[in-house]
Amino acid sequence: MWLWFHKLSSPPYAYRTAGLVRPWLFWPAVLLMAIGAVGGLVLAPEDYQQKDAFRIIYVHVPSASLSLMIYTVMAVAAGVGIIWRIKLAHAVAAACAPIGAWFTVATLVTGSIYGKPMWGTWWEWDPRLTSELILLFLYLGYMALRASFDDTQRADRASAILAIVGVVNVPIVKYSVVWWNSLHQGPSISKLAAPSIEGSMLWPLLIMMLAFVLYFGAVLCDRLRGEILRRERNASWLTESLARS
Amino acid sequence: MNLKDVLDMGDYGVYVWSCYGLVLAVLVLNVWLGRRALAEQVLHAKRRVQMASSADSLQGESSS
Repeated sequence: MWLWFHKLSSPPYAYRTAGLVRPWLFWPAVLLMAIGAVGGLVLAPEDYQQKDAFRIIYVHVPSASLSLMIYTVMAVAAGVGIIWRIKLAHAVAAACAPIGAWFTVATLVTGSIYGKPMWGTWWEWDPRLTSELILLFLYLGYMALRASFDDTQRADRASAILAIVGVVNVPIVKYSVVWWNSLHQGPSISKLAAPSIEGSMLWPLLIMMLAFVLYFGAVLCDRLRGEILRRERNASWLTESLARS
Repeated sequence: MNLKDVLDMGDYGVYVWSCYGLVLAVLVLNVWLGRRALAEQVLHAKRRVQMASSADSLQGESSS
């Protein structure tokens, strides 16, 4: 296991592995998204209170959970990079940031569109919405901080500290609806013992969430490969592999 | 559920379809941006290799 991790932390091996794994993540993600979208838009019954507007959850919830998951992956990778001085871990963190930022934007905008017919307002300074907006600023701050350094190693160290400190916001976003009075509805599917969502509405959501995670893996592979090439521009393995291709 | 019902979404069609359209756009955009970033780096790396090999050959010609 450790040997495999050690091998994976080698840039040429990670570059090749990411290229091989990508299609095995991307195409199942596309298939599952199609199934989840049909399930959510057509097969799931309408909600007794929110009517058909509830169907927004099939894109809003997977985007939101992905925005939190990506930040956690980014912070863990940054931590691994700082503690064990693994350059590839910093590359993973850097590759995560733009994808996470896009999904945070998608969460905020779809949430806002969902809020208008349900709450009668596009925006409210509610704990869940505000903490998700802070998550977007953390992603943007992370990317801006990286861009402000010419030296990659200094950029890695500084941005890793920001990513690690900012991870405190992840449980705040997640539990904001439990800790404070919130306009946003409470957790529905995380109550594993008794999810407060009917099975016929739940399965398309779970499929969509799985599809989004696979999709993230596929996009991360592309971003990571690009980041490895940028960092390893003078490495002999790169020259040799390009000469072969 | 017929096609009109699916499009109307019980008068919530504008909200539902705009959300799906936006998320689809984000999904497509992220794939495109990732592929473009990778293609740019591959191109840069290939140029560097070509420049290095042409510099080597020039050096070889001048020394001979």
